Amino acid sequence: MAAIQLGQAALRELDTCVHCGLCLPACPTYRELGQEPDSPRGRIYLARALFEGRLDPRGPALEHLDLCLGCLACETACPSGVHYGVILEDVRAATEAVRPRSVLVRWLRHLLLRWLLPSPGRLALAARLLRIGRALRLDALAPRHLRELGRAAPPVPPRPSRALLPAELPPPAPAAPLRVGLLAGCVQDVLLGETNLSTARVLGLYGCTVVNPPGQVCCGALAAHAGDRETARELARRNIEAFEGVDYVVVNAAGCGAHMKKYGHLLADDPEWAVRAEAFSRRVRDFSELLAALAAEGRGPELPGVAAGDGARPAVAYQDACHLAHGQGIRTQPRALLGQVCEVRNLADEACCGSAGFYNLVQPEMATAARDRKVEQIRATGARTVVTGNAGCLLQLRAGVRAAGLDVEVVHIADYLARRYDELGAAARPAGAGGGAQVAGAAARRE
Amino acid sequence: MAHEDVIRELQAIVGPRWVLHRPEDLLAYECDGYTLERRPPLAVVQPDSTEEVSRVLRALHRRRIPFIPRGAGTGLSGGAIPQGGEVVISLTRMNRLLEVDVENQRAVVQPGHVNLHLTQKVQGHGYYYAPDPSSQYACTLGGNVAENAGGPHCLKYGVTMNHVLGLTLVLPDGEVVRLGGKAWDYPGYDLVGLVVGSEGTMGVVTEIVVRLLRRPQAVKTCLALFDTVEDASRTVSGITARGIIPAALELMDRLAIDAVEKGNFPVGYPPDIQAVLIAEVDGLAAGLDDQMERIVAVCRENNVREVRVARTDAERALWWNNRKTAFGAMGKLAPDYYVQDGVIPRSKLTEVLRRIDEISREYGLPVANVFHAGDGNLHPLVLYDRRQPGVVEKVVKAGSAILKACVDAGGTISGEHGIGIEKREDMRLVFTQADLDAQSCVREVFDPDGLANPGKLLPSPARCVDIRALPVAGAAGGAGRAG
Ligand SMILES: Cc1cc2nc3c(=O)[nH]c(=O)nc-3n(C[C@H](O)[C@H](O)[C@H](O)COP(=O)(O)OP(=O)(O)OC[C@H]3O[C@@H](n4cnc5c(N)ncnc54)[C@H](O)[C@@H]3O)c2cc1C
Ligand code: SF4
Ligand code: SF4
Repeated sequence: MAAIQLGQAALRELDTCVHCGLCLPACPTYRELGQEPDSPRGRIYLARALFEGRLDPRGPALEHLDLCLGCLACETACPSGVHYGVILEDVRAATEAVRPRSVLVRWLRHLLLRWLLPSPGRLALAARLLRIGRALRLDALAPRHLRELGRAAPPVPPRPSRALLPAELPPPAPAAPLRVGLLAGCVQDVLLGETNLSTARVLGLYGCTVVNPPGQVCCGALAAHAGDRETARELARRNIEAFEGVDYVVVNAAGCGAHMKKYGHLLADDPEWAVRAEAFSRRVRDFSELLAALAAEGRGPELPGVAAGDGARPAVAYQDACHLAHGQGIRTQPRALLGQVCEVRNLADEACCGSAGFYNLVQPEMATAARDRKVEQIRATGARTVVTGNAGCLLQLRAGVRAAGLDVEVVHIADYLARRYDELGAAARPAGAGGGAQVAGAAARRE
Repeated sequence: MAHEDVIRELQAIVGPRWVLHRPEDLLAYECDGYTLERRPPLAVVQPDSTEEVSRVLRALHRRRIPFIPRGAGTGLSGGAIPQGGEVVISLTRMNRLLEVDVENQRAVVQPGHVNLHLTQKVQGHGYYYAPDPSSQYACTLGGNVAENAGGPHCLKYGVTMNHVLGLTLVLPDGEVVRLGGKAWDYPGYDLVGLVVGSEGTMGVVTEIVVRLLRRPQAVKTCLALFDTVEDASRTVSGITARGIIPAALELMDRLAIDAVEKGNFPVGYPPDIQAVLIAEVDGLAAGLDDQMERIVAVCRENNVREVRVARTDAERALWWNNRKTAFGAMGKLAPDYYVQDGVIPRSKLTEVLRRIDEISREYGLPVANVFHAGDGNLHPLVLYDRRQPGVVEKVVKAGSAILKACVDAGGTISGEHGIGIEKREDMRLVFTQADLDAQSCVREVFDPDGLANPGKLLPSPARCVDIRALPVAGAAGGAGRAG
């Protein structure tokens, strides 16, 4: 039986796991099934067995790794600090070649990961085809869960957001502006481009010049999670190149941000790119992370309409996207930002909503179970609006509340803030307030 | 496949999704929190009710196939590890809280319920479930019952046995029996007490009636940092000698501190201290300050470098999270650890720790110490890397030497983790053959065919039939639970 090859980093993580089992109850698939092979500890055990050649990678062992959402809740729970995500990604990369997959599936994966996602032009074309398909009601042919998801998506806009944003958008009241590059993303760019425009507007209110570099591409997270590391590395190189010369790279999708913060690891063994990749990763910020840091320094819009303790603030439930909470440890920042303009309610726990990249497409049953639990938690908060920091969660939750017949809107945090700032008549702070130097200092401390 | 018909019958009882039998699906059930031995089971079955457990056991009994109950598999003595050919009865689906009766301070739960979740669900009413093993984030109440689990707060509140009022037990032949009940005491033999701590060797526990305690009005916690382990140990004896009964009294030595500081909840201990002591008092708010002051005074008498009383709940929670993840965080120091569970008289703490240090040197294996100092329950963690040739035997020997040191000091071989397969042979350190034979007889009353978690708890050749002829006097005494 052929053993799979794993990299040094993954082997170190395997060694760090002491098999204590404290991660089990954090895992959504274990909670659903109660089966060890579908728990973090079990998956780590299977990964080790694959590496030691005790299990055949062509056998059913990979089913258990496939059922993993990659939500990283186990990383938060683990007392040893095992970076499970590193193991998962490595196993997926190492087993890709030996997997029994039909020719059709291989071809589709190739098409999606190597041909479609990396190319903004082809994505735009695909979006146009999607518009036509919808107009002709072709989506009626799709399986139920896909239809549900499709209906949760807004109408496909005629043009991607990158075509609507100028190459450089200066802030309304320039005060030693920070230059931030905005990742447009791949799918988000063509389907949920509105969110990118809101992001740019809000960043402007916080004194940022928003840069939209023409060479940027998909971040590569989907390719990396699907085991196509070569494509992921190539996309990383192109983004590093494209975002040269900005103070920060701002990302408004949790999964993309988590992945881009790891470009340093991804290219660590590439002598030409390792140092640049590391430096790039250090400049990546989630949207709410950067904004909260700026707000703490007194930047951001003036909000005449909200006095502290204003009773009329709308109630909003905040859903932690896994790759923000578990992947990047970002929990307080979005709540702080929202807290300026509304009353924030927490859901019962941080469990995954089931979206998880492609997951809801390939594992509909588990994804729907996770989603429905989440929708129950949303119902329990009594809030009529749910805010989240990730496009995938957004579509998943929209499909969920719709299926449950709940009258709840699901909004991206950037869109929500933009809307509330408008409603409250927020004005950009005049020149002189706050200072970029301090922010840069705060960034250096984090590193 | 040789066992196709059993699998089919089990599938018919619980549904095909809830029976695992392909080798790839069984591998993760090779071991629990104890990883020195491993062997996959024949199958894993996940029943959903007492009724299903009963039907499953009946099907296995008919074929004389042995079984192993399993909760979260956090056990540290290998209680849930197959010896070959058993079917694992996984209780994870039976995790419902069936009844909460706040007025009478009790609740009824299924065995797969996670320990911490019970407290989380009743705390709104001002109640909690007292036994709090450090694995409480994950371990199940069924596993707690089977191991008679303890925890930091058992110093004052007692172990699992003191909090279980009644049990539903499915015997190995499928018969369902109810032991104890909802009242606080029952006439006749204490069969609940017998099953608590029996490690799955008497059947499968499928319902548990537990006591709930009212949350103490107030809690005070202090953290004392010492330059030597001896000073910390003397502080422990000093506190109890003064008649103060803390709710918890926990100690970690240098190596353990290294691990937790690299884990998920670093407190920021100074890098050069040798021991950390956590002392907690709880109860009526009046008088707590006074107790805490007396504890602080004892620390001072014993050359404490620094002593802090928690100012906020967040601070207190951080100290506890840091302490409770100590075993888990060992992964930061070595790929494998082997944790011991010896009990000694508190007064012998310094002496036994010195002996453990000698053993560590003798075998060339680092040993970290974390312990429930208040009850003299030591947890020396032997650190190793299983890939080094011959190391496993060395680890096992070092572990036995440590247990022997505990017994020599007047202690015993398990405080809370149970015997499992790990300490079967070490039972001979504390029991005579006659004692062991008597225990076998008790076991056989419940499990005459030897199907319930065979090969656990008692050393192998102890069999009831071999000793029926022995004079009764020889079988008396010592049949109490180890630890
Ligand atoms: C990090 C860590 C810290 C720990 N700290 C403590 C501690 O502070 N105190 C402590 O006491 N223990 C501690 N333990 C040990 C372990 O968590 C306990 O023994 C716990 O009670 C086991 O519960 P479980 O659900 O994981 O049981 P398992 O490991 O699944 O099973 C343990 C034993 O119980 C039997 N069993 C399980 N369920 C049933 C049932 N329903 N009916 C009959 N038999 C059953 C099994 O056959 C087995 O023999 C710790 C373990 C870890 C990994
Ligand atoms: S909690 Fe961490 S160390 Fe423990 S089993 Fe899970 S991954 Fe391994
Ligand atoms: S990443 Fe999420 S789903 Fe996967 S093992 Fe960890 S907790 Fe479970």
